[in-house]
This record gives sequence, structure tokens and C-alpha cells, in this order.
Amino acid sequence: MSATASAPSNRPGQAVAFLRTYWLEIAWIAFTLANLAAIVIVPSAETVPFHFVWVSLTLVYGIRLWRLKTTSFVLLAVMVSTGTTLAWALTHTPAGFDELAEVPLMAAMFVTVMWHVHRRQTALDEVKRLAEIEHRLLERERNLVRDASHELRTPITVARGHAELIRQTERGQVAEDAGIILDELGHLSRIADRLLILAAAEHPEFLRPAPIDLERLIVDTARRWSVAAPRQWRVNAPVEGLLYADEERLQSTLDALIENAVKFTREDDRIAIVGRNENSIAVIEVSDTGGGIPPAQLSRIFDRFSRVDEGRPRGNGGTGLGLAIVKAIVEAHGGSVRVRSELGKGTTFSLHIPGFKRGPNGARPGAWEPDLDEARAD
Amino acid sequence: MPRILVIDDEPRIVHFVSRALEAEGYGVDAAYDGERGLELAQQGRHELILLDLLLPSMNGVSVLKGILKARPDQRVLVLSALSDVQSKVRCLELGASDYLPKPFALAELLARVRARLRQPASAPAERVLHAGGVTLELLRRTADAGNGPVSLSEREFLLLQHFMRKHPEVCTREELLDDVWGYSFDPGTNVVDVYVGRLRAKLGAGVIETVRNVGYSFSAV
Repeated sequence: MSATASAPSNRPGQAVAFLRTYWLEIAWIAFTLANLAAIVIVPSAETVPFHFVWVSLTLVYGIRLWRLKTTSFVLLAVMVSTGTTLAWALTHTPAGFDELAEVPLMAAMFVTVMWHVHRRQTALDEVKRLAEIEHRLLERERNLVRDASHELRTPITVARGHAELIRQTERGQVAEDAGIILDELGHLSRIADRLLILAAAEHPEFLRPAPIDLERLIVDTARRWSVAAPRQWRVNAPVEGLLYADEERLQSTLDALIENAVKFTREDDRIAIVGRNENSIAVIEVSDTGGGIPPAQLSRIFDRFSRVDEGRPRGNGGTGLGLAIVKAIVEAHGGSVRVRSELGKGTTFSLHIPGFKRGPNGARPGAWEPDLDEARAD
Repeated sequence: MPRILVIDDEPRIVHFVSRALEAEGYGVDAAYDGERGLELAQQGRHELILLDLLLPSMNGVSVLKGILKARPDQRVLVLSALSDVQSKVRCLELGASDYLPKPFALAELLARVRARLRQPASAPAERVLHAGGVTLELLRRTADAGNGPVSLSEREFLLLQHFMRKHPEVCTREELLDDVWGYSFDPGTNVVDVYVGRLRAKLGAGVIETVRNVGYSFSAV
């Protein structure tokens, strides 16, 4: 009932939609028919309308790019209609019939255009296909990190929650044991966090870079650490300018290197932080006069879960992933990290990060003065 | 006692969270997928909803949107295995009252639940936080301390909304590092001080007070 009732009311709508889709074809057919009529009416002036038909065909094809079947059919129709009208015109004029050769010649020209268009279209499709694949890979990688977060953190959450319930409801040894489980779950959770950072670092959207004031970053970091850990601190960072980098990530790599240096030095050891600009590459060095790293371990120091001091008991908070993350972050910036070490003399880590631009630091829009006295107060 | 709805696809999480909440005396309902969760949430019988972001049948963000569309003043605490800033900012912009990354400590969850229940529900529809003389527009991520709206970066936004929701309590550095930066330990950074400095620069030095040896607190201007 409703279908029959609604059909007539749809008809004008469909007609409008048809017109909107095929207006160019309709206009072109009308134009072609007018030209064919002109040939018939004024046979002596056949050349102009004849060529108008072919030129307009090429023009419309360039816009619409019909499929091969449609194009062949249209080409055939144009050949037949222009051929017959031209032949008819030639019987009414003194000119010879050799002018009919124009029809296959124009057709050949049109086929050449078709071939070029086809070649270009294929190339474009290929580019589109590759972009699509690239896009899907990125998407899958993004989902991978997301799914891994879920898969790793959900069981830790469940275990942790239940261990906490035990610790709350039980007393004595059982509660203590639950506390040990909680400590280990905390450790596992830190490892999971860092593994997820490593996984995310392979994704192009990992970094959120912005122009950062390198000198201030280095000086502030050094000042903060020098308060926290008594060592012979040296800072030399005359790098006026801006580095295009992810400030938070870069800060965490610098902290990781300094934390390492602090861990392997004593109070009378020196820790130096140096910054310089080498041909638009920012170089940041963290060196210490600690015990150094044995050459055998130096080569795999950036590997995941590698430990410099094999004898050190696990569970002092380290995850064996710190330097691997440093390397991943620096490489995500398109840079590199190197290490030099001599047993008994000390170790130097250097970060090389491209994208440094020399200039006055204050020129940065939205520059701000940190409240250093306040920051040191607590 | 207030009723709380827990929406999570992992039954074992629902299990221990419900037990802990019930031990505190709350009434607890549970939903194991987004559709059921949304259905229960729309009845409006819950003072607080704990919502997991990843659900099998429905994306958690759409559930959050659905809940807040039906009940704009509903308090929702989002629990999520995603710890990145963007996910967090997105949920708060949409109008979630709080965001706690997994794995969380039970004591922390209970403290947040208590805090959220103490607080009046945010103003319906407009999604604005008021504290002291400052107005924070969640959707536009702008703050106004009386000198016109200032736009905030994602971190600044997270930090300020934390201060404002905690007001008048004092926020410790550890708590801020944990909640705003997701550090479960103090990595020895001064990011908190740096960002507090940025908020002061944008909103006026008096907006955040330094509490010696403890941390910071939001101050009523």
C-alpha cells in the first residue's frame, strides 16, 4: 500500500537526481545533434561542426572518464553518426570523398587520449592503493599498542585488586605475603608501562614535538639533580636557540641518563652535562667519572633487559628498559645515541638530535619565566 | 547510601571493585557491556558510574557520550588501560568527572569515589568548573580568572582541573605526578613546578599557592 502510494511522489525526485547526475552528457548529446544537423543543413561548411563534435567528445571524456565499455560505445556512435552525415554532405558538394579519412583519423586521436588517460588513472589508483595500505598499517600499529595496553594492564589490575582485598581482610603472615605480591605487581606494572612506551615509539604519532629551549632544559635538569644528589656537578650548555623536539620525552631521556650516572658514582665523582650545536644537530652529553662499563657489555647496553651490573639483585626499582627507551626516543626524533666508556675512568653518553635552530631563546612565542625560587622552596 | 554502577567487560575487575565498594557500604550494580551499562545508566538511579573505556560491544567513549547526553549531570569516573594524555583529556572534555588509569590501587579508587560523591555534580549541559574566582570550560579547554578566557595545553588543562576539583584540599607533588603525568613513582623531574609556573603565568600568580614541603593548593582569589 505504502509502496504504491509513495512511488508517484518519488518520480519527480528521481528525475531531478538523474538530471543532476547526467546534465553534462545530456547537454553534450544536444550539442552533437545540433552540429550533425548543421552538417546536413549547410553541407558546404561541414568541417567546422564535424570537428566541434570530436573536440567536444574529447572534452567531455576528459571530465567524465567513462568506463571502457561506455567509451567504446560512444566512440562507435560518434564515428557512425559523423561518418554518415559527412558522407551525405560530401555527395552534395564538389569536394572529394577522401575527406572521409577524417573519421578514422579523429577516432585514432581519441583512442590515443583514452590510452593516456588510462595510464594516468592506473598510476593514480596505484598511489591510492599504497596510501590505503600505509594507512591500514598505521591503524593496525596504533590498535596494537592499544590492545597491548589492555591485555597487559587488565590482568595486573585484577591481580592487584584481589591482593589488596586479601591484605585488607587478613592479618599477620597472609597480609605480609599479599604485600609482597603487590610489590611484585607494581614492578610488573612498571615493566609493562615501559614496554608500551617502546611499542608506541615505533609509531609516527609517538612524538608531540614543539620548539623547545634546549639551554633552559639542560640547566634546569642539572639544577634539579644537583639538589637531589650530591656529586661534583658541571654544566656547560651555551646553546642559544630552539630544538624542535618533544620536551617531555626528551626530559625523560635526560633524566634516565643522569639517574644512571648518579647510580654508578659516589659523592666525590664528577657528573658533567654538556650541550652544543653541531651544524644544526643538538648534542647533549652526560658524562661521569664512575667505574665505567666493561667493553663486553658496552655493545648491548641499549638492548632491552640488559643490565650493566649482572650481580646486582633485581628489584631495586630498575626494569632494564631505561636505556632502551632512551635509544627509542632519540631515534624517534631522527637522532642517535652513543656511549664511550673506559673502566676506572668513567662513561659518556651523547645524544645527537637534528632540528636545532640557532637564535635568541626569548623570541619564542609565549615564552615564560619559570618561578625558580618557588620550585626550589620545597 | 549512594548507589554506584560499575561498567566493565572484565568480570574479575567488576568483582573486586564491587566487593571493595560494598565493604564501604555503597550499593553496587554491574554491567558487563556498553549497551547494558547505558541502559542502566539512563535509569538515573546511580550517584556515580565507574566506566571502563574498552568494551566488547560498544566503544567506551560512545557509552560516555550516551550517558552524558541522557543525563548531563551524571558523575562518571572513567577507568582505563589507556594512560596517554589524549584519551584522558578527551574524556574530561566530554564531561567525565575523573579519569583513573589501570592498574590502580584500590585505596586510590575508593578515595576518588569518596571525593567525587562529596562534590556537587557539575552543572548540566554547559560543562563548566568553578572554583575560587576561576572558571574552566571543559569543552573549549579555556580558563578564565577574571581577565578573559585563556586557552590551555592538554597538560595545563589536566593540572588545573585537578586543582579545581580538589579545592580547597592541598595537592601533593606525588599525587599530581601520578594523576596528571601518570608517573607511579617520582622520577625526580620538576615538571610539576614548570607547569604550575605556566598556569601562574597564564592566570595570575595568586591562583596556585605553594604549600611548603607538601605541594600546591588552588587558592580562592
